[in-house]
Amino acid sequence: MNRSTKRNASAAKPRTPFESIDHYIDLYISSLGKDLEALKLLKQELRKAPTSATQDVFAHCSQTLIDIHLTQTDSVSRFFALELIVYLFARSHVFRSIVVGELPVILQRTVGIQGYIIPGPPQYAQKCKDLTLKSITEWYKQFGKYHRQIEIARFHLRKLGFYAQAAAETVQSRQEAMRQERVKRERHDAYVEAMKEVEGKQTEIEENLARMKRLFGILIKSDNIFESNGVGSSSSFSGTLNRTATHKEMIQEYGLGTTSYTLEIEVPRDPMELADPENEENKVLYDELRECQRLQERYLEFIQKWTRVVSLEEIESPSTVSATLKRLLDLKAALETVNSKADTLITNSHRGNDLEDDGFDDEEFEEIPIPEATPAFLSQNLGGSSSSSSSNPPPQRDETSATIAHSSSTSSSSKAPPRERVVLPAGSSIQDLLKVAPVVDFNQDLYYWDKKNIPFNTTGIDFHHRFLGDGKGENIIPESIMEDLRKRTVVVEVEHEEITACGARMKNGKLCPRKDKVKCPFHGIKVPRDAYGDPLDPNHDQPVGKGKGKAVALWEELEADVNQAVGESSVPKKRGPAKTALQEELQLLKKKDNVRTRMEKALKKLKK
Amino acid sequence: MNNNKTLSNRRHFVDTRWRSLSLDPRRSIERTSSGAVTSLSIEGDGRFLLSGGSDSRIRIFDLQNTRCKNTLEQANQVAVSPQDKKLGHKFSVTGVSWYPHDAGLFTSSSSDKTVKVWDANVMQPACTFNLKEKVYVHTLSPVSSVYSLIAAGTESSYVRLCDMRSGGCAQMLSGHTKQVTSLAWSNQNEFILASGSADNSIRIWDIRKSNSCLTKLLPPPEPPSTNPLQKPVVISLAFTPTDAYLVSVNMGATYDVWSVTENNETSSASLTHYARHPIPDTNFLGMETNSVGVDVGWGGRVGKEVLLVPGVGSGGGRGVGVFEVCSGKRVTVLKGHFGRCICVRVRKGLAGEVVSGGGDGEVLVWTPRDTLEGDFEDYWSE
Repeated sequence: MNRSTKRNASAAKPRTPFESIDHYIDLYISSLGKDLEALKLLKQELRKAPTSATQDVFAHCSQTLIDIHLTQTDSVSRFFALELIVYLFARSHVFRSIVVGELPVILQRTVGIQGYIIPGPPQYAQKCKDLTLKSITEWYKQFGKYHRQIEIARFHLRKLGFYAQAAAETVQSRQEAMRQERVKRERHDAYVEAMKEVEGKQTEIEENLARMKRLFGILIKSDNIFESNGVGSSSSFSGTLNRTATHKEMIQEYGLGTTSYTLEIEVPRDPMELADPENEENKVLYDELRECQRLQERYLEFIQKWTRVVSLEEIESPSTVSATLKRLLDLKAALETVNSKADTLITNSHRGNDLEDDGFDDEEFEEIPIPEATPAFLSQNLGGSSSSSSSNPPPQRDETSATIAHSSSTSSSSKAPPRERVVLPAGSSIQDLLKVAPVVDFNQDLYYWDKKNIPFNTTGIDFHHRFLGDGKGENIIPESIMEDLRKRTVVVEVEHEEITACGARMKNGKLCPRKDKVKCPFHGIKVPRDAYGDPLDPNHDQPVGKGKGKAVALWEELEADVNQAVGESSVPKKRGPAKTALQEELQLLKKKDNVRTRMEKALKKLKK
Repeated sequence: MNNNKTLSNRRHFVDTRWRSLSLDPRRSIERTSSGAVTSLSIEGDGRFLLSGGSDSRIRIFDLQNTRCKNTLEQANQVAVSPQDKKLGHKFSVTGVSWYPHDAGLFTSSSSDKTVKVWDANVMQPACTFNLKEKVYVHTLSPVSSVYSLIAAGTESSYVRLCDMRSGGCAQMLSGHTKQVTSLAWSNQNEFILASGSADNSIRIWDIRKSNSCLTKLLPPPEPPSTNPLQKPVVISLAFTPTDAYLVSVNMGATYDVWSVTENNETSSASLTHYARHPIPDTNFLGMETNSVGVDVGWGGRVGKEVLLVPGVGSGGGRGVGVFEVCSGKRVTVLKGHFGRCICVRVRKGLAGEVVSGGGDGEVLVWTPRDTLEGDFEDYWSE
């Protein structure tokens, strides 16, 4: 609205056709192609020009578009200028005849030929490119027979590989789409197969569940009590919750809620602990339980696989998929609950056996000084599952647990620095072991430390190998690779001893670069030296280079001593063969060639 | 009177034909060159087109015997020089020229320091002149009857004359102080040769005389350029068909027109500077050693000739500028090359066709538009 009034106001003052053309082009481009009114006015302006001036008007229009708007430093305005060019190209033959001559320039500025680069933003640059390539193809079809320039531009673009690039991109995207489709289909196949398996296995699993529950019923006396309390045995999810309730009731029933007296009482954390320990009579039951548990582990694996397959399903309707997924997860939860129960039962029975065998083991339990039995302490000791009274505020408990956690963490961190290997006696407790255990970062190896049966193919498609065929069976990481995964790479740092250079001054003034550990063969034992190669210790006698004069033989020393003692002057040592008189004469006869002689020669020549 | 009227009509006709030159959408010349087309020459009958390329090869196209391809009539390549470096040129071809009297012979010069005379029938060199300097330009006199001399401008300051009959270098014309960048034989007098050089002078030679330099022309100084690379160099020369004017193109994107006045009594000629005209939107930087092959077309009347200059236009010199020689008026700019336009040749005739070669390897044919069916439809929506 505002813009239109402005336009009306500006339209009121007289303006040349060229100015108004520029104005409308500006309006159209600055509105990002949304101002159709401006486009309409531009069209009107171009059409109302007299026939004699048509050429000039269109020439001006194309020049504005190509030289001003296509040279902007952002490709957004370039794109909308290009849009205008395409729009006018389709309509006016005069504009066409002008623009075809400028095609290389336009291509430089919209496609980026001959080393020109189109500025960002990249998506608009790409749009520019695409629009140009598309328009060139269309123009060639429509006007190619009149304007050969279009054919030439198309040929050169093809030669530069722009069309091939575009074609390759479409082929690539099509291939990608096809691949996606194929993956989807394969996943669906896997889903259908999994559903069949689910139908087949579900009854089996449920039977197994029922069997296990029956076993629990036989093994745990109290289980019946809980169930008879009206909690309901069918829902195993809410088991823990119900148990808490019964514990509370029980505590209240026994009068533990009051603080008037103290009573030490051991409440089992899990009703499963109430079960009979394993003995000759119920061994059969326990065996059966173990067998059931083993079966369940297998079922759990199956369920895990199915869940993965189902969660990747895309073709089936989402509601069906989610319903199936829910069913599977329910089943899994039920299995896990029962499994944990069975675990407790079995470990409990074993402990019971151990207790019977060894009697009370002192080392297993530490003596803990018993503090005053405040309600807080009671609640803390009984764990989260039971609280002695409602007056105990939960934040307090949180605080205590938090401090405990904190203290433990600090103690573990304070242990960190010493990393020595300690040989511990055989019967040392876990605390002692922890004290000396090296602190290492949690890494991949620790992650895999206790993992088993990790699936590696998460696509949900059965693995197909060209030579080994379809991998229908287990798609879990084999144990050998797991072993490797559990290993940790430790980089051993070897300390490097920096060997310094000899550093003695050589004849050429440089310092000896030899790096010997103790003794340089040319300059003797290494000593600390200054930057000039002189030893820092002034008493150090420097061996003379090459060791010519240094090696005074022992016999010579002795001889000198004897001579000194006798009083005879020592015989000077001959060095090299002595020159004979003849040789010396010859030496004299030899003409010397030095500066002086040369100058004399030159002077003689001059005199002549 | 009536005669006068028809004459003026005819002049008008010629003028509009030059004005309406446009790229012929029906005709094309086979794309065979992998590199740039550096020089062109059209045989006297206008049938065979010779093109030299930067890929060191020379091609002959038959402009009359065409083959239909899509909607185009394509002139096909009929012969090509061997790629063998021993037979053909080693480096880029700098100029090609038909022997004016016989289409069985043509000459070529190259950066490999040779000028070769070719037998067009077998496409093999008949004679090779080794000039030991890079050859920038060579020309043959269009009207020679006594001699058959090739004038060659090289890296050295001499104009070399090679005799095709003896196979030896006949003469060296000395006078320039820098390399010879342009040459033009007179269209009327077979002994007159003009040469332009990097020393910014034009010399006119009579090759019969021992002291052969007739005159030395110095173009008026150009206004000092801000670009230090831009030196005053005469990059191209051409005589108008009647020898009335000599046109010299300068590197500073201008051209000078020299009027030739003949003195019949003394049978000598004198040249005077007639005018200097700008070549707008053009940059010849770096083109001093690459021959800018200008050509002059007949304009129906002396003084109305048109000068065709390749490499004109702001966006990388893709166009061929058509100017009226004397007035300096820009008739039109032919735009269609994808790379720089390097050479242009006019096919014989009143206002015949124009053939141009460019750095994109294209050889394009330009014809007057009145012979074409055009794209004259508008599609405005209401």
